[in-house]
Amino acid sequence: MLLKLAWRNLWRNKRRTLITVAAIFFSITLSILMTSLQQGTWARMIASVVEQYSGYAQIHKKGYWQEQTLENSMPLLTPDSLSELPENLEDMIPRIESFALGSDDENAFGTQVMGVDPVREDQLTGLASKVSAGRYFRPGESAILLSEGYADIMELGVGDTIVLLGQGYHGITAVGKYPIVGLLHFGNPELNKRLSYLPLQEAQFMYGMEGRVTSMVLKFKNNYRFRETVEEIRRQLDSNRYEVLSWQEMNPQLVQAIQADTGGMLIELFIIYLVIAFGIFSTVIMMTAERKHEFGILLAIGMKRGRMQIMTLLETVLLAFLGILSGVLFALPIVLYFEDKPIALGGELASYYAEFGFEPVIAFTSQPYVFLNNVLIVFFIVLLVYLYPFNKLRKLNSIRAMKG
Amino acid sequence: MAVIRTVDLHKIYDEDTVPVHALNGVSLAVEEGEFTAIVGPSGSGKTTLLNMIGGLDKPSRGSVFIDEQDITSYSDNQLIDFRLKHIGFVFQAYNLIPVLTAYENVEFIMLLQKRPKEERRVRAMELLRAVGLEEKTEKRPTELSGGQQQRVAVARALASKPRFVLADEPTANLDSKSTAGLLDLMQELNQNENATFIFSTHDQRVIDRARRVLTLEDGKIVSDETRQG
Repeated sequence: MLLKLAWRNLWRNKRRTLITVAAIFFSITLSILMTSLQQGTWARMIASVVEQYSGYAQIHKKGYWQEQTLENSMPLLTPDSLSELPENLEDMIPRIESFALGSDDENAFGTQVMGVDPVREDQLTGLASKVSAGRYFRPGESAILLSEGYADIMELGVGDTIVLLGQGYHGITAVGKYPIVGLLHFGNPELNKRLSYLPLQEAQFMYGMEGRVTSMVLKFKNNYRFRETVEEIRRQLDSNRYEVLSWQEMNPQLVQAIQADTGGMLIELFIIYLVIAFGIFSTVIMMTAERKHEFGILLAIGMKRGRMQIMTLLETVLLAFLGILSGVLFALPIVLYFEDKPIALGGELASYYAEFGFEPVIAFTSQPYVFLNNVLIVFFIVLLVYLYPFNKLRKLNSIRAMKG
Repeated sequence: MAVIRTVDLHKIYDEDTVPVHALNGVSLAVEEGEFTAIVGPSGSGKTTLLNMIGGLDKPSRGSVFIDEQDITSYSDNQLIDFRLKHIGFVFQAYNLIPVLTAYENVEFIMLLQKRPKEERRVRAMELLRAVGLEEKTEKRPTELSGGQQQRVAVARALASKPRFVLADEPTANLDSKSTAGLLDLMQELNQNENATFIFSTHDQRVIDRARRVLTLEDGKIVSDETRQG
């Protein structure tokens, strides 16, 4: 009965209800799109840095991250190195990261050399799927994969040979000559113009560091729970010998940029929510004021205040629900479309993104929290606004109300 | 035995500024099944007295006894319950719920009383038939004339089978034909339902039908006339 009354009361003044619903609709659509765009773009950036490169966490010799040289390398670790294997830890993937000068007959240019276990690295970062020309490593072969950008700089392609020259472990000269079996495409433009990949054993041999690695990238069963697993591993490893760093600790500038951007958006969202709040509030004030007489009658004939409060709560919630539902239904296909087909940036904006090493795209995310957070905030606003009629009804005097 | 009894009722408005004595020591007793009119000039305290009896307002001094229970000591919630169970109100301005149909307006009180659906339906239809509006059950108040709305209001007042029907100037906005029809109806329901009717009025046509007429002046009862038949 209360629901029926609330619904009909809502449509007593159709124009006002529709205007309020429209205000909520536009605000919720805007806030969902803004949040989805920002979170989606950041998620893409994090993914390009974290999932395709650094991983969610790494183990190094203590001090390596501050001074990234081969002198700060460490013996290969395995999950067995831990006294108790964390349940969420799936694998520890070895890497050697160093630099070398790549050269051929005509060109010479620096490259970041990644020595990786081909199979496990592919499981972690999907490296094989980034092959844009040629093929991926075959087991036991001595070959190299170049990023597309670097290959362009060097004017090399699949089937050519490159010579790497660098400084190895303990200052030895590191030299190797490798056939190029494939080219790799990275969304992140910075990575795309500097990376070269060698099988781990080749890299260890070239740098003179058999049995040693610069980092162990941790692979988790559930990435959302990686922090607690990192803590668990930290507790088990000798903190004087090893450092276990999360991607946030390895990329503090990215974290700061996300925080600064999120802060800016929160201010914008706050303004949108304020508009929603005042829109609903003005409607609720009018609905309460013009029905004061009627509330007096209802109280006189025996309707309890609690029931009237529930009725007005239902009216307010229905009003918000209509606005929220239409807003979510409108925003959802847009979010899903642009999540699937991110907007590629061009011109100066693309260069700006590239400067920071990010893929120049605007992406959306359809993660439930994007919708849920905005819906919950609007419902919270509704409940806050509802305090007005709630309080009016609490203090309602039927005789005065009927006279008024 | 009196079912309604007021003892030395006083109601003073604006006690702290310019006190207005709306009721000035009203004591009366009403028997079950009475059809009583409270008359008097504007400002004599008719509506205030009805409000006190109906538990809508509390006296500054004195008591209202319903079945020897002092309702002036009731809490706000107890008074709402009391009104729901025992009182049917008919207001001058009809005061139907605009978003409900005639049928739903009559049914509404029974919904508040949590009566079973079938009982609500039978009672609402019975009352709407009694007030001659069985053809208008699905009409909303705005689609009914003033007389028809007041008939719905009377049906609503009786829906909960109240012991008392309090009507504040029920014919003030009605034409002669509607007034006569409404009075016939109220008299009939008074006899058939054995509900006690008390109404405040200026209307001589109403006064002529009352079996008891209480006259108020300046918040005091100045005459109490009981008629035969």
